[in-house]
Amino acid sequence: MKIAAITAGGMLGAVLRFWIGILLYQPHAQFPFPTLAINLIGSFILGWFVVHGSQQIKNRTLVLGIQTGFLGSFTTFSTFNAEIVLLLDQGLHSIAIQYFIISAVMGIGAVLLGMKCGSVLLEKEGAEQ
Amino acid sequence: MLSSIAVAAGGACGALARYFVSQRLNGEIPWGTFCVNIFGSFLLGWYVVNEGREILDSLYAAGFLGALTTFSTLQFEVVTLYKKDKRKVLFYLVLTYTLGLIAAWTGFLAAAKI
Repeated sequence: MKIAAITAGGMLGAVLRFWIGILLYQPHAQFPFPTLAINLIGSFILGWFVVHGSQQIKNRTLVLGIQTGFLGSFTTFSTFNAEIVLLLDQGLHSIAIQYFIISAVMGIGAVLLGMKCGSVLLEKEGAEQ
Repeated sequence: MLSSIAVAAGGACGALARYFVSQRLNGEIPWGTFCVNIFGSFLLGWYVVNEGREILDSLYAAGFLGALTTFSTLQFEVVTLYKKDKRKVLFYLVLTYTLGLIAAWTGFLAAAKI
């Protein structure tokens, strides 16, 4: 069952990344905005999911499928690095550095913000009960 | 449509491979995540030199390697490990970013030479 959950999650995550990548693609843009957006959105959702979303789901296999399968596959580290190498190869050093720093700093920020939103929602629900 | 199916198939394999490696190697420092991220970056750096092979772009690059490596889990691990051990987290973070870039660059140069 775990394997099925990760397989399904991995499929969905990768396809959604692929589609959003096509949707956000701009032919003349030098800055790899689609990957940045995907990685930050995925990091935010993962932060929220671990703190809040996963608490609503009793089935641990489903949690694994969403967390490791879907959210893990949705974001990508290999594309991030390949894009930096391609930017450097084209001589676009300052864009490469900007992209690296923005991804690294905002990636952690996105997880923290997601976790914060999750804990606020948890408290709110706790107060209502 | 065909490319979406290829991405899905590659994504499933990538996610499963990441899961099994992480299960085996993730400890206090998540070496499993580290390994898939570095190895995947190397392979993609190698691949992008000759990309444009249509279905292989979807199946292998976007699907398999995209899903094998992960950005969100890395960020999350850094945040959770930070609460336990600030020195280890700095080590893990710097090592992942540095070796990730070196791996992609090495793959890129190696493929360009061949």
